Amino acid sequence: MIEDERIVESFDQVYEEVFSILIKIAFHITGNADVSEELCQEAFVKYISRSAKIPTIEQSRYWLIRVVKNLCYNYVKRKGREGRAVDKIKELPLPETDNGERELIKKEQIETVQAALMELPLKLRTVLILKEYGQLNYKEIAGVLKITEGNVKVRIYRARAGLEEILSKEGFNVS
Amino acid sequence: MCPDKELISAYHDHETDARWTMDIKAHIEGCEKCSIENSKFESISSFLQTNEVPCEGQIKSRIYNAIERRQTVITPGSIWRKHFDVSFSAIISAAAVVTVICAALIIGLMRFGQGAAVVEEIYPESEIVVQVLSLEDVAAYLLSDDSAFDVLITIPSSDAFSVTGEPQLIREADYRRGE
Repeated sequence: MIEDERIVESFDQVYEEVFSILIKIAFHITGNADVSEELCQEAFVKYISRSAKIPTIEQSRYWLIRVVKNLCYNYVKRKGREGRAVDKIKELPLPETDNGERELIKKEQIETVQAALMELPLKLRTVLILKEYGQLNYKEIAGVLKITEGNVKVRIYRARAGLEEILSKEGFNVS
Repeated sequence: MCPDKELISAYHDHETDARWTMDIKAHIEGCEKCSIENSKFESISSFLQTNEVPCEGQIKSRIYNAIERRQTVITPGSIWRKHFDVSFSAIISAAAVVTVICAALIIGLMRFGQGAAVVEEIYPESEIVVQVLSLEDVAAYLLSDDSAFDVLITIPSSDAFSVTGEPQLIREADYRRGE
């Protein structure tokens, strides 16, 4: 075990540390908040039945990310909803904190960035999501996706280049 | 000579080899073109980080409550402090029934445990079901970057389906795993 890894003391501890990461990954892969909620719940239920075999917080985080990524892939592939997910984004409820005009601008920005992400091919989108939201390094991403670290590096660059192109067309100042 | 853009992207992620990191940093600071490229990656990361999941707080509470409901165990409360008048024969009968039930449960669990281990080994975490119509589709899936590490191919149960020739598909899968 690596020296700075922390032992899991309770489910609540893991939930507090990992929930935000997990829901972001699920939401940005599926593009659907309701589905993300279901998939995250399923992942945590699976975790509870396995938690005795996963001693540290870091291993729990990695395990949960792998599971939720698989569940998301399962959803996207089986239901064939990838194309329709962009339409779903237009139905997003407003974020819960801000008000008025600022809220509207923020909502538009979220929709545009999310729509741009959804335009990327699944394998490019996933690798970037795991990097940006999953807080994983290239080696860990390679482990989750069963690809080489070199492939991770290439895919992340291509995802960024693709996103830059799409966002620039949408009027975002990417520089 | 400028480093390629993939390397600048890796530098942005702190994923460059320690031997080259300082050289890349110095180059980016002195090269306008590479500096702009690095800034683009920073902007994209910044856009993504501000991209919230709608109603994340509410979702967090709902999932936690749902899991808590599943985990809830009904405790006996103050039942142990109450006094009951029970005959000796009733206690003996109850003990016999409990013993039989426990023995049956233990045997059942032992058998179930053996079966479950096999399933768990074949299907870690969650399986992805991909339906295909032809062998070409199977080959395309196995060759794709998104294919799972462990793949279980279920052959149709129809009498009209027969297997002939060399098992090229299996050989190809074995070859890919060795990469």
